[in-house]
Amino acid sequence: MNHKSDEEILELFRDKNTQSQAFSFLVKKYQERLYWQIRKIVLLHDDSDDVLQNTFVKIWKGLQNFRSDSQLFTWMFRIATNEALTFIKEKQKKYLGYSNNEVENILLANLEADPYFDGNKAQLELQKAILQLPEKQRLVFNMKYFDDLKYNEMSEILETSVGALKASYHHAVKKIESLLKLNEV
Amino acid sequence: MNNLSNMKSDQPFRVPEDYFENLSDRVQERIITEENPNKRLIQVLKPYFWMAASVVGILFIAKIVLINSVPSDYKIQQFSQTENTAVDTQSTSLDELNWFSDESSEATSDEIIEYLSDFDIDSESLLANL
Repeated sequence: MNHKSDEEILELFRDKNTQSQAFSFLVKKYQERLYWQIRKIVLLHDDSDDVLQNTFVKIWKGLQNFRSDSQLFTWMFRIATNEALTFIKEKQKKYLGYSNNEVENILLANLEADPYFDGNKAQLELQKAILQLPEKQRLVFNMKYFDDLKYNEMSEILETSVGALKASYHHAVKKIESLLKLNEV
Repeated sequence: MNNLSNMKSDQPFRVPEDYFENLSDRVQERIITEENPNKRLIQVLKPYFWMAASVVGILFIAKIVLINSVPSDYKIQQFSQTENTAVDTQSTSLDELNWFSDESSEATSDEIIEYLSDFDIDSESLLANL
């Protein structure tokens, strides 16, 4: 298995002869964390796969000019998040003219039909509640609740102060709890 | 909050088996394709190349069939009509072969149809020789 540090990977990447191998190390090291970040935003596996591949293509292109003044993982996580959000916005354009409620129902029906989602009713209700959050709260909630990211890491990725993130998470939890209570889960 | 805490431990999302095993290869493949537009163009045009090759193949087979089937009928007919010697028939047949294999004088569709109707060659006898 690959146990190389980010510095070692970047060193190998700078050499044309080992560039491809270095990128393979990088993909294997971070693919799962990036995938789950994307999956929590776009929900369906096939969409996540597309977005993840786009993310790695962008990382490949940007890595040539990557400066070590920011953490490699933070930089990649930000690319993955932006790619996922762009994908969601593109998808929402397809449902122009539909009400928010109708769009949510379509997305949930798609999620229910996804062969790689085997959640019960309660988990569907949770996803439905998360879909109703504003974008920033949704991101913060996913990163904190599911991935247990530290506030200072989230602060770097989302370029938001720790205080504002804590407030966002607090509001998100309150809203989700009240929505779940409303639906008696 | 109790509900949220309970749900956290049970993740409903799954991935296909071996998904992460071969992701790196698929990503590298995609990068190569994106960085080499010529390769990308070839991939886009590949089905059309196959279609063109199939058409050329069919025409080639049709030409072979015509060379093998038409001259033998033609020879018999020529023989009965002119009662020429075997040498003459052979020379006529050779002329026909030359006509078919002559690169500079490709027969048009009309000429082929006219030829087939002149010598009463129907589609069944053509197919029987395929």
